[in-house]
Amino acid sequence: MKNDLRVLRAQRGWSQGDLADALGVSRQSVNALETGKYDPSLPLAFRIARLFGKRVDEIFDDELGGSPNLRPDRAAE
Amino acid sequence: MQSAELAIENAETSTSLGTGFWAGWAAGMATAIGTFAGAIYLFTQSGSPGGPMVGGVIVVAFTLALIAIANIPNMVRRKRGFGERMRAPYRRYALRFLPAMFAYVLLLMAAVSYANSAEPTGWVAWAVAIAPAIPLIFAIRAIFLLPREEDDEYMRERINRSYVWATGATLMVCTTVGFLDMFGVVPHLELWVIFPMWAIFMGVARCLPLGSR
Repeated sequence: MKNDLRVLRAQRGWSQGDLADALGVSRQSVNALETGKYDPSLPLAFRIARLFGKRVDEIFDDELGGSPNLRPDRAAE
Repeated sequence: MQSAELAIENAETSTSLGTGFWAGWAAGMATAIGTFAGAIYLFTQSGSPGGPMVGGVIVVAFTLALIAIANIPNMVRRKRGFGERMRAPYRRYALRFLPAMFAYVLLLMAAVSYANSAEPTGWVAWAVAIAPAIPLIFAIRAIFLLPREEDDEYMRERINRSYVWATGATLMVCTTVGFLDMFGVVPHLELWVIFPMWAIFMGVARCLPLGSR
């Protein structure tokens, strides 16, 4: 899953260690999240979103946008 | 991407390990595994030099050494040295695992020595034989408590994956060797070898990169 964690972190001038401390996870976790090696659990994704004052889907992209049936505007159909 | 972001990225991504490092690490692992296999072979031979007690201690020492060697790239990549303060789950793990392994070495030596000299029978023979297994059971318990107590989900995932990988590899090797043994192609494999084998596979698996799901 793609994400904007690295950009959001850099915009705030935080190191990976700073972000790890703020989220209560290891620095290796932040590195794995940023490099896309690991997808966070829902609770961690919400914690990240809350920390940056954004919605989960503004930070994480599930790369399913190309599937018309999964687009939010089709959900009500 | 802006230059500041690039600087942070370059400074904070995992340490890249060079070809020289991996060559040295592979040579070290190959030497340790070769010596380990030799020690097991000597231990399974009745006329081994130094007797079964020495063989057993060598096997235990090499098991621990192999686990340590296998974990070196992981430690280097994380820029973590032996002296750095461990996180709580790993501290608890070390406090459970290391005394258990120490007790295992002592009990193994005592049991082999007593069995050789006194040649016990009946329930005493059972007690002597089972004594070295008891601390190992506690060591295995420590290994399986680690992912339960690890509060970092990514690290927990890595541990669990290494356990699954090690279990699969151990089952494959033991099944294959079991049939080779049954057909008389290879010497008999002692069952106690399974745990050190699993631990080695686990140590190697811990160094493998965790791919994205």
